[in-house]
Amino acid sequence: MTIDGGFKLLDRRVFFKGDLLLKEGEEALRAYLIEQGSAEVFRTVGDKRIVIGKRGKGNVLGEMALIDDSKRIASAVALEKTICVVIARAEFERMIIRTSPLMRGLLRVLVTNVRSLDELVTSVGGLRDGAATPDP
Amino acid sequence: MSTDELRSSGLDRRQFEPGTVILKEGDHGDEAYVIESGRVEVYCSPGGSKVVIGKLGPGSVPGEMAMIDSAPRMATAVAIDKVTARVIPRAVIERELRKSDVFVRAMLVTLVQNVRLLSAQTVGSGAGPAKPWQGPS
Repeated sequence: MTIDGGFKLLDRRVFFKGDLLLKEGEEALRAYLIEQGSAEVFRTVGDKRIVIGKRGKGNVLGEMALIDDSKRIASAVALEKTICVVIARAEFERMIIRTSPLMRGLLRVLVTNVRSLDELVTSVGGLRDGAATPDP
Repeated sequence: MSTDELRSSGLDRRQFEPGTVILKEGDHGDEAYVIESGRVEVYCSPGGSKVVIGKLGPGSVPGEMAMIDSAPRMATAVAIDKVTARVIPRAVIERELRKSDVFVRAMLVTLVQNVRLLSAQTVGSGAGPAKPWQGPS
């Protein structure tokens, strides 16, 4: 994906392997668009780290809490050096206002479905190809 | 999807009799639907056995994912009772996607990938049917 036109000011952030991009429970102040690298999304249940997803180039991270105005329900850790475009909350809100009602509706419906599925996948111990590992 | 979100979209209404197949797993669909009344059962058929994923009611949008990533339908949806829905043609979604911010498009694509990945994990895990796919009422 090329990033042109959509952003007037491109604020980028670099994360190194093991850095946290999102933290479960924190207030959502920004979302990220991954330009390079990848991250693993997980929830912490007791002392177990339950992997519920992976994100790579062209994917967005941290959008759900901004769309439905809730707290982070998962953390994300960089699996390698990862470069992201930062979308601050105010910028995100301006972008959503410019978006058509139909597209806003689709975003909301998809977030609702992902949240329900996240719960379900967490309840069965995470992704099958990403076995639960002890939280360090 | 709420009435507000559909207002001014000028989408056609369609009725489905009970038992009508609205979406078929594996098809390349050209429409999504916003349910206005009635209920729809959604199921997959991995290896020929029927696995019910959930039931959808008013406000749900069956068929939206194939409009965003053009992948085949991941599930079949059948009308349980008489269903009234607004039809969203692919051309409308594509036009709106083109007008949307790069970041909005990336969000839609990412969310669809997540739903597909997570659904594939839950089908056959013994976890369903449960909350997924209900959508906002």
